[in-house]
Amino acid sequence: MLTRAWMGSVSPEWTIRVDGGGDTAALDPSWADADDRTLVALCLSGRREAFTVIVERHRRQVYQLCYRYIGNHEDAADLAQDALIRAFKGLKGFKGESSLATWLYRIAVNVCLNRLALKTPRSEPLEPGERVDLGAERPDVALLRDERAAEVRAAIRQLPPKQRATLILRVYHDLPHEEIAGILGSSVGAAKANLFHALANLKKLLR
Amino acid sequence: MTMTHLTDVELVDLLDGTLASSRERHLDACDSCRATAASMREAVARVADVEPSEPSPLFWEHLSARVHEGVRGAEISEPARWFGWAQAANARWAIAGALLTVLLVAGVWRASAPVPGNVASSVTTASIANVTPDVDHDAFDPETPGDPVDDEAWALVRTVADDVSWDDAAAEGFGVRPGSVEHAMARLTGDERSELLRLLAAETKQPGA
Repeated sequence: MLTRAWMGSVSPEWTIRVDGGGDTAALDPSWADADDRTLVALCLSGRREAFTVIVERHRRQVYQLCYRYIGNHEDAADLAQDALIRAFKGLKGFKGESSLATWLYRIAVNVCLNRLALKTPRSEPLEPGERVDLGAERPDVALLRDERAAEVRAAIRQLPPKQRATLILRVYHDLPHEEIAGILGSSVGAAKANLFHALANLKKLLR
Repeated sequence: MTMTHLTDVELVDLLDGTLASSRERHLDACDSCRATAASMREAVARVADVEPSEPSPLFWEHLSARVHEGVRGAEISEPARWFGWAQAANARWAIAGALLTVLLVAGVWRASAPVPGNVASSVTTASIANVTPDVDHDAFDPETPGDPVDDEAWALVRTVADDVSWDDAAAEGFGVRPGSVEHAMARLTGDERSELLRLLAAETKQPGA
């Protein structure tokens, strides 16, 4: 049964019910400060509620990667959910050779690539209600900024899959080329070349 | 001062500020490389300027709830050892038979198929004619005609392989040169891929598979 602990941020007094079997486990307050490897070890030792903290910590980045890749909120939410569930089920596959964030990115990129192979994602119109509120910005300036942002997002969505992933991971998630190469299963040189071509293609598409 | 133009990789290094100073000096004498570098910087600035989509706070709660529902009752599985079942003696015979069948079918098709003309002209090209395809020095070009990325059989294989780490695969004795599988897949015809898909589907339905 779902309780409030999964509905909000991590908080010491909250509890969660695991497996729907009536066993209620409290979130240890110290977990909020625990590093990712410790949380993974806790999950693997049976304290699966520690995964709550992992989700809280990484859900935004995973979602944003999916959103930037796929270009619409609904699909991005589905993909982020899928990626995080796959991550939980595959936690034993996390060897600690990279950061947990990088490992999650790898899963998210694979989920996105698979989705692209199976169906064409919907395009999404601007949703003013979901944009960041930049305060006292003039409406015409905000409109122009939104239009330019929409153009860039649309151009990114037209890039070939690996160029798109490379650009997103490098520019938005600030990953080093070595980690991007690891995520995409390519060489560092190929990752850099893909970034070069992604930028060159963007220039063509944004003319 | 060298007049060799900066390569793609060097231009990216320049963007990162990691290009060797000896190569960076080339820019002083090369309008072309300078213009390309400026163009890249402009593109990065335009991309970086796009604010991230920020859903409402309720969305994050909803996402966490959905993940919780998804993992409720789920087991943390052992790292997928999808070749483990193949170690049984009878399974090895089954695999050998399946592979032999694929090779025979492929051989018959290749022998009987007419020599293709311009293959590229008979398939769908990329939606943007001017977009340079992905670069992968190690493997196949995913945007070439007959792209395995868009291939149903390849999607099935990739989905199955998602949970398998390279370490686990290596531990099972699988060590292939990077890109070899993609290269092999890229060389299959559509019919061969369909047959491979059928065989894979049949194998996964085998008891104990």
